Amino acid sequence: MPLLPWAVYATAWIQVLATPVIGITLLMIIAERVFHIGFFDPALGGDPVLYQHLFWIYSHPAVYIMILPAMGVITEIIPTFCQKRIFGYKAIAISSLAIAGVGYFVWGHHMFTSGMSKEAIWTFSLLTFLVAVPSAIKVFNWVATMYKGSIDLKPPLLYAIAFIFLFSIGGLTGLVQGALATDIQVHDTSFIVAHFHYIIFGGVGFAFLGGIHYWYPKMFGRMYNFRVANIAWCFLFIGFNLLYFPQFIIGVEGMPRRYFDYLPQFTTAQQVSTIGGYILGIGFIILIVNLFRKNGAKATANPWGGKTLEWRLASPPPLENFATPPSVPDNPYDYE
Amino acid sequence: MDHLELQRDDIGAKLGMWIFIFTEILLFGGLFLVYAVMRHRYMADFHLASLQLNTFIGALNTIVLLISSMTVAMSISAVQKKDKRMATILLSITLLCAVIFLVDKYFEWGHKISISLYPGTDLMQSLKHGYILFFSLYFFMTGLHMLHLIIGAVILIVALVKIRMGLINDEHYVLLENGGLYWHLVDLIWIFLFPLLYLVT
Amino acid sequence: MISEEKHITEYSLYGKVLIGLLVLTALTILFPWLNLTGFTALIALILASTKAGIVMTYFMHLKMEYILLKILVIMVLLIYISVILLTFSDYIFR
Repeated sequence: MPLLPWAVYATAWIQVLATPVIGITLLMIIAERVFHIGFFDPALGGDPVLYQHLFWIYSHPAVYIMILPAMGVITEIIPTFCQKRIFGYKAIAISSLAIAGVGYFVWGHHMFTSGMSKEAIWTFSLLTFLVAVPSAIKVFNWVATMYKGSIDLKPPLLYAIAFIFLFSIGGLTGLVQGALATDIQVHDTSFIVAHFHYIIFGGVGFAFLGGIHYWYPKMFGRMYNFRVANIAWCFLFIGFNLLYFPQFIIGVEGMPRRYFDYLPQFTTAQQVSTIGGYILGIGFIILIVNLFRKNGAKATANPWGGKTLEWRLASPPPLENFATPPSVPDNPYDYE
Repeated sequence: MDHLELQRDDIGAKLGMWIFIFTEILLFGGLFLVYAVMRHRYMADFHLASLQLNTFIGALNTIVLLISSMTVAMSISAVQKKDKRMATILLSITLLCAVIFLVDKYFEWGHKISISLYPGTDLMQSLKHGYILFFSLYFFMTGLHMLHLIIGAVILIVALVKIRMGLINDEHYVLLENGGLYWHLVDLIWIFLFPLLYLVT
Repeated sequence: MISEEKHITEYSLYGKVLIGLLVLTALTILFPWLNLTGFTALIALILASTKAGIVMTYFMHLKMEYILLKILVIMVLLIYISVILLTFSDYIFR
């Protein structure tokens, strides 16, 4: 099985087991408002931290729901554009499951300053460091796949490489937050905002855009202009970093999150951030216009030389895809 | 696309039901977690509040549900043995048990409501925190359980109708199996609710 | 891959399981009278878990199912119990 299905499979498990918790939590909130049942209301004997526990028991796995499919997409793109089999197939598959599994047990790292017991906060800190390991394994494996590969720097690969860079920054800053002492400094500052935007936008967002550029010919039967796509990528990459990197810096310096106003010492960074935002916006417009223009060359079945099953079909694929069940090779990344 | 083979996947259907059961375990699991935390905080109050509940009816309900679990499991064997009559009898007993449970609940809740002991009343607001939390949990948990019981009963009614119509038979009974699994889940939840709500010492 | 052999469970087995469950229920009700205070909750949970295990094994047919399903059920229960224990790591020590 290619690694994207593995990633989606792991994601499905998280969705199955985590989503009901937010469901019941919301039901309890409704009960609190309508029936004056006070599970979380101190005036009625409840505990607001209990709400936080229940909320994050879902919401932390939820972010893994976001990142796992994105990682799956990257794992599909890189072998194709390096014409090399993925390094460490088993490790990546198991890491997807490990992220899903360990990800259930780290939710307390959103609550270090909430008043939990000391024992709880260091347990959660330890588990948080553990969950970083499978993600790191994936990053090493992606880079190892590229080593001595036949690199074809097309737009999908540009997005994949950007993913590796941006996700790594996001992940490493996550460790800063996972360590108890540093978290006290950065909690509720724009450092956190920058961290999760690097992961979700730099990670999930860029993987999504890479996936669009990868499968666009397959889906719509047409190629798009590579030069324009690359230009859009430049704007997006530069704009994104200008927008969010300064927020790491001012976060450490004390800029709180969820504030619309700021102290004068943060002005330059905020202005750089804003300019970055505009550059990002321009990049998006270029990207969308490029993809919406349906005047590219007709796409062949396999414009990128991929080895997974979708590239054996015409672009776009016919109804019911294969007339007879296809022969599936042992190795989904059979490049050598 | 001239022929549409209706693909049948009984193993997949049952696995799907089990996965749904996992979501229900986590759903009620959140409630049990809140219960556990609150009981830990208000141990004495929970004990005293629990004395207000009618243990006899609770025990009766437990027995009724256990019997209904047995009969629904037996009904699957009956269908496998092509014994339509027995399957009908067994499923009817299951549904009768469901009705008995609901009638018991009607009396239990009815009594509490008649003495104004339910969430939102002035009486409730005036009680100690541990009491309010206990009764809130009692109504919420048994209420949500009751909702699931009604849904389970409806599914089993559908299964019963299909058995009578011959649509569920010894070749084709995954709907009954899945309905049975859902019913067992309802029973499982009650197996935990009973001691935690009625037998708090 | 996963083949299902048609296994018809006899009514009598279900009857025996019910009797076992009723005995455990009786135990659950009678135990509090022993007044073991601290342990009663634990014993009640153990008894309830045993009953649940019996319902899952026999009524829900897990005993006769393929091994993967058994592993999944155990995995889900372990995850759930771990979540409870982790939450309690906060509340016990506050």
